[in-house]
Amino acid sequence: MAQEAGSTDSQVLKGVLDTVVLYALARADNYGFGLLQDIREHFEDGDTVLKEQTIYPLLHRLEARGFLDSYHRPGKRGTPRKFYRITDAGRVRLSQRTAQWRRVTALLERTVFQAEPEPA
Amino acid sequence: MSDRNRYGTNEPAFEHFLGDLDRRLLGAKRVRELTLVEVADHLLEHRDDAAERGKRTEVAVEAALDGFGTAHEYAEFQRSALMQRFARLAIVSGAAFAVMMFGMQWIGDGPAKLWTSAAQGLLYGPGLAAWLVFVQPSRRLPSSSEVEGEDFTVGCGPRMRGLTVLMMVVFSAIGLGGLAASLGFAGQESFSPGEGLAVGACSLLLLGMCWGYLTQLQVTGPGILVGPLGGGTLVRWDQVGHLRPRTERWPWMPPFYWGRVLDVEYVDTDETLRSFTIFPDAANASRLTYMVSRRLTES
Repeated sequence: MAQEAGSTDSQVLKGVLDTVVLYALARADNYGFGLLQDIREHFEDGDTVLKEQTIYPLLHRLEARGFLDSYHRPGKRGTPRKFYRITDAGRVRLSQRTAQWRRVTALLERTVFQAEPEPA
Repeated sequence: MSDRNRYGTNEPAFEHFLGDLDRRLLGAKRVRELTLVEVADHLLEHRDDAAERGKRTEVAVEAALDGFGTAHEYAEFQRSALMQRFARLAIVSGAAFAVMMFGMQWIGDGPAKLWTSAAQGLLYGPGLAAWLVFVQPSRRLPSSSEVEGEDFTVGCGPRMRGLTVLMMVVFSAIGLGGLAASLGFAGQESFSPGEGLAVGACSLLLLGMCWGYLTQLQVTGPGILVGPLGGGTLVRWDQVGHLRPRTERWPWMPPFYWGRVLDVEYVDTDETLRSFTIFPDAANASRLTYMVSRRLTES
């Protein structure tokens, strides 16, 4: 049962990952692993929410849709490292998604959260 | 670099994983390389991070591989992304080519060859898409020597420039033949006047595109030297005003590139607004894009 609840949490959180990635890149350009570390710091259960194999498909999908751009800069070892940068279209998408999530949160606040007692 | 360290990680377990992934990925070497370099960098970074947290090297390597998942899963993702891009490009470029051919034939001979145009589009679209997606990636990975140092060149390599010059000669000949036919000169029976005009116009358009490929951008301390085949105009950093995707001006342009074609606008010494283009498939294009955007943000 606990495992089922954990899985549901992950499903819910996966829905917001696009927004979280755009938000993290709006603050600073980053590369795959660096971004992963940055985002994990903000999730209590980061390791289960954001798998490493999830981050690249997500980044590449956002790039293909024009929300991110990428470029190569030398990494620590001097080899080319791929950095991602949010585009203007990505910023617009971020603000749209943020507004949508605010509306969802407000709706839950007015309904479910008020009716449901806090779990002990 | 020996075959045992083919991917440059100096870590046998990573080399084995990357070899497995390489065998599963779609596309020519340059296409696969874009994925392999990013994955190799990720694995090494994860290993170093785990080692810094006190894990033994063998444990850190294992953690990096476990965390990343299987080569099969990742290859499936790359395969799906490439196939989606292939389908999109094949439809867009095929339709564009069919419409162009239909227009040319309409001008020349009337609308009787509608199905011929559609068939040409069906042949041309997937052909171009397969080339762009599986053989010649729009983005070139810079070599280590290209990412080091302050001064660098953005542009196509000597082979591509040679091919471009050859294409320009061919397009010029076809274009002149087409224009001669449109003006009714004798000896141009291959084209009707309408076809000749369409062929001439298309050739001029292609010549313009080729010219863009001859342009080289030399990035130095004071600015960017813009010009075909070396030499040209020095655009100082403080002259650069905007960095705009080409699609802002021409939103109808088919998405032939994975990355975006960017126009850098600058004010010339005679106060005229001019621009030069950064093609995403040119070596060091992403590096220049980063430098320009960084400088614009800072200013």
